[in-house]
Amino acid sequence: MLNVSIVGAGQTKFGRHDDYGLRELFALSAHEAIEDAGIAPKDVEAAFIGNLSADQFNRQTHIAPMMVDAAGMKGIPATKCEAACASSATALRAAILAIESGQHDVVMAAGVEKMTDLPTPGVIETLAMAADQLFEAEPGITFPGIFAIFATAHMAKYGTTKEQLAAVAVKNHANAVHNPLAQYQKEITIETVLKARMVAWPLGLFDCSPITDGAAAVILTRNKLAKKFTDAPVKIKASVQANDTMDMCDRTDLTSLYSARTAAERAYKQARIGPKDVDFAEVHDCFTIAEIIATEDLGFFKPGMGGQAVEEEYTAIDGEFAINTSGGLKAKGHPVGATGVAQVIELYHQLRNEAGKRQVDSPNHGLAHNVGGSGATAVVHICERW
Amino acid sequence: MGEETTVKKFFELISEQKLCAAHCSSCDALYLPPRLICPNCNRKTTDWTQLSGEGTIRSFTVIHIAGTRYAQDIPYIVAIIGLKEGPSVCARLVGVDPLKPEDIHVGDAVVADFEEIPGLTVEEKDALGIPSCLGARWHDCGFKLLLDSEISDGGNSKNLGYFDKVIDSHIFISSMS
Repeated sequence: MLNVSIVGAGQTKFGRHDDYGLRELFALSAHEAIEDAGIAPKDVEAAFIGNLSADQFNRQTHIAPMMVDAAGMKGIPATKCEAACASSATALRAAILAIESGQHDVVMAAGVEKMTDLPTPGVIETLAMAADQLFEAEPGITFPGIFAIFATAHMAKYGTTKEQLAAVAVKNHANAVHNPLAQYQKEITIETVLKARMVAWPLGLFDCSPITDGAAAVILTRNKLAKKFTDAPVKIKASVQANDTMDMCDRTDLTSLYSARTAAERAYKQARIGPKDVDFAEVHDCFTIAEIIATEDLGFFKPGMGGQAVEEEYTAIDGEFAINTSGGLKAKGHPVGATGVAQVIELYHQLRNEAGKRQVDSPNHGLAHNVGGSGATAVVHICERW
Repeated sequence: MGEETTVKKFFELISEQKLCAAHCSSCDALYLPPRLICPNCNRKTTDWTQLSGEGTIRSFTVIHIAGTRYAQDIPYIVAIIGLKEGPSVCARLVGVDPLKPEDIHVGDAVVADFEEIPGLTVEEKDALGIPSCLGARWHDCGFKLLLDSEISDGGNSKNLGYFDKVIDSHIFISSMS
């Protein structure tokens, strides 16, 4: 059982930011989180910052102290956490453990990525570095390609269809219409998805999350102090991270992520709830197939049923398991190192009943599922309303 | 073969047109990519086992948008091949039309082949931004669809007509000197 709550949150708009660099994006999200918690930068005792690859995207290393400096913090431990697209969920987990250890009372967990500094081919190559460089990237795999391989396997084993994949994109775009911080606030149709330019067969452009700049930050404290910061803290009931083999070819199943199943199973145990107690979830839909697999790995639907579930609107905002009310990585955007914390910020707003037109009806529990690479890392957080 | 089962040695063996997996003599497991320590029994893997190169397609994709390095190759197929001896490998699948993915099926039989290709000079690697550890040109390893119906399992025999079209295609797993 964890004793940590979220008492402040801040997120930049996700999208292409021509006027803001890495430091400004971080500073804006950190400032908003600090203000939301009603504290000052000097009150933050430690910061853990998720980032995949400022070294490749922006030719900048040593970014953790640089980021907290930009947000006006001084003299604190600032640490970068990297686990590919799950970077900031691992930062959040590190921040939670820093409080649980008794070392700190007020800790920031954040994530930042500025991807558009590189042209698209450079982005593709940088992301592919999160796969096994020698045995996967060398033969020519790309990240869309990795998830396309999962899609082909899922389709062959379960009969999942391209229309079902497309239904994920259509739903998440529809949800993002109500999220002012989303990259795309525009509805799309099944036909748009199916007719889109091919990226990695069977995945087309609209099966893929976009290239995004953005930052997200939360302020954490221990439960017994939480009410001093806000009337509506959000409790973190579980924080679990698990790994799997680095290489896809080393796995017996290409239709499910062992790391995600393992993390979910342990998270439910830690939170003392089951999948049926989850009212809504933010899952790692870097590609449409990833959302379908996620809803199966998390136990919301049986293996092979995720495609049908989205097609029949079980995962719509008013469905049995509302999935990616924020618009998901697909439409909200996917600044890779910021995504894990941004997912939890959606849980924070939903559990405080402040998600506006995308609000789920009185939720008690929300789950965030963040995946790194091809699933070599998965992190699951479960939050509960105060 | 008695050599330490390092990645470096694996690529040296590829250069000799040998597709090998690390072998644990304690539990008999095979690993590809090679491992130094067997996760089953926590002992050092002891030697190499040469693989037949025969296998089946576990899954695949056709890459239409690639990074700079492989931009000239698109569209190309990357597949996960389950090898007869147990391990799987991620490799290019060549000799079939990447624009007709519906003609390729999970379960189709394939076999590895080798072709000599020129190696990259240090200058060429520098120009491509390729670290020296990537010198073996593993990306040029490929698997081709197998044409022999006896090895292709029953369910795939309907594809033989299609396979005929690629009978003369030139496929490779290869490496450089």
